[in-house]
Amino acid sequence: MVLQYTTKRIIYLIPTLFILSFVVFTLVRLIPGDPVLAIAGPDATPEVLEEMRIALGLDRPILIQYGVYLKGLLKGDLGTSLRTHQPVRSEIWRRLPSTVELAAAGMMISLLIGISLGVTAALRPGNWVDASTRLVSLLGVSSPTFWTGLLFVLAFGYYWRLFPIAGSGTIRHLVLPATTVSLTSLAFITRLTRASLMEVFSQDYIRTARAKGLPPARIVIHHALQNALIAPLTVAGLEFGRLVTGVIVIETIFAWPGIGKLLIDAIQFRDWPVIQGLILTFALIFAFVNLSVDVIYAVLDPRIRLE
Amino acid sequence: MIITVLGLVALFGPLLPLPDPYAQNIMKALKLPSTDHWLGTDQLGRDLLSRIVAGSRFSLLIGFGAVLVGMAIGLPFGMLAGFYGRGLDRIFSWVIDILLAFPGIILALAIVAVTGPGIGNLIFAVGLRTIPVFARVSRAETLSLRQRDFVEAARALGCRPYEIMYWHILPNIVGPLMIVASLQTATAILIGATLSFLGVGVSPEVPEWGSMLNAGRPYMMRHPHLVLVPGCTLMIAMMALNIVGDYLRDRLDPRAIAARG
Repeated sequence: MVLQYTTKRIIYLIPTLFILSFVVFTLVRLIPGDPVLAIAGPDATPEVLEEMRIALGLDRPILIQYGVYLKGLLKGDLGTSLRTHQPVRSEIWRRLPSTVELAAAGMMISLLIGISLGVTAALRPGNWVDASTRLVSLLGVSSPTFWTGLLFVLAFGYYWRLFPIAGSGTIRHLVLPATTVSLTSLAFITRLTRASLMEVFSQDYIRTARAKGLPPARIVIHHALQNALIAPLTVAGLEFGRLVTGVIVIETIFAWPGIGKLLIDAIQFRDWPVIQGLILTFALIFAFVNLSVDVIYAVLDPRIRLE
Repeated sequence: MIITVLGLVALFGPLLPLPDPYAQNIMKALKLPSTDHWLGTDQLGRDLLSRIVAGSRFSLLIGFGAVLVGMAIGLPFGMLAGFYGRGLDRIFSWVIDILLAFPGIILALAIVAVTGPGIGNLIFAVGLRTIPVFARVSRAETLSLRQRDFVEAARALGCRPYEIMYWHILPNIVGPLMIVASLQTATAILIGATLSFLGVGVSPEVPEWGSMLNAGRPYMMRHPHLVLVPGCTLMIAMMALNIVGDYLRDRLDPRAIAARG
């Protein structure tokens, strides 16, 4: 059943991705400014420009260009960067691991701390932990990632020099960017864990467990958490969109060599093959994450599968 | 309260007795707050308070502008799809799915990459990602109202479809739309500021809060007030909008009221 559902979803995804690639392709062609002029530089003669245009296939109708592009795409060829003259695919591959590392670390931190904070707050609603998590989550939702990132740079890079504020490679480099990335999701996951655990606590089977005289810790861990964690875990997948925003911003602030930084650089240099390749990559990752979330949902909740 | 102040400042900012936000004075550059310049001056000697005040207009303009774009396009499509259903609805849902296949910021970045920096382009780019949000809400609400008795009655009395939608359905979905609008305004301001911070939103000399943060970044180690002032302003504004959004949701959304018991 789950397999069937997954296959159906993947088949449904294919036309969407095709349309997506076409939209991105035409969109990128609308960028003002002559790409040939950008490659050749201002000193090139009109003849050279014309030759390059033919060499790049830019003189042909747009549908043919799209066909050529699509053919390359199916073979995994994303074109060549105008700035570095490297294949776009290897540019992306080289930087993707850094981004995944940052995103995964950020997600781990927000899940671990978010769930613990949420549980603590739900156990004693109204006490200082609960009150301060509410304040912290409001702050977390309201402060833009780039602002917290800058504050961290300021605090740790200048006042207390505990962690490096730029570059990557070691665990110490990872601390500040990953914490910053985690903050927005952290706030949300804390709130959600608290709400869903409180709801579970009010249900009959928990009262039964209490009446049986089970120790409170056992009730929380074995009975309540199992049901209460479904919501925050699935939302963690949906939080991915926000995480992407965070990652792009954070990579720029902390000079983290990932694909978010690559995208911003490419936009500023009008390096359209890279822009195009990256937007497709992001869309693909996003679609894949959404798909996995839905599949996890289907595994956890049989009602969805039957639809 | 904060929002009222913010709105008033944005509206009447130019009337306040403040220095010109664009006037440069290198002799007075990077000064800390003083009686002359309440929040200090930036790297080009421009008064930070006047730039913050001027920035409030840009940030609110981006926020409300983007939400208006989203509502103007999303609402009619959502209502039509919800009202007529079937084929139209299917095509519509598919388009929405494609729009939602991009993380919001990527979509906005793609648009800005095409159109280049500028406030109009920024509003459009940020607005585009609010379209599916408004379309979904108005579709769902219309769908649930379509079969209600008063709509049936209007139809029996010979109202034309657009009359039903305008006079009978629209007034009933204003509440949920307002909740979405207030929360989306906060998100839109945030995304606008993020794009400007990344240097692809408004052009650098425009006193938008995000671009002020970006401009202050190289100087912040020695002169932290350059980033602290616009950053705190942005945070307070976001917090106010989020609180209002939550408040509206608690008050107006029947589901939230039911959930609270």
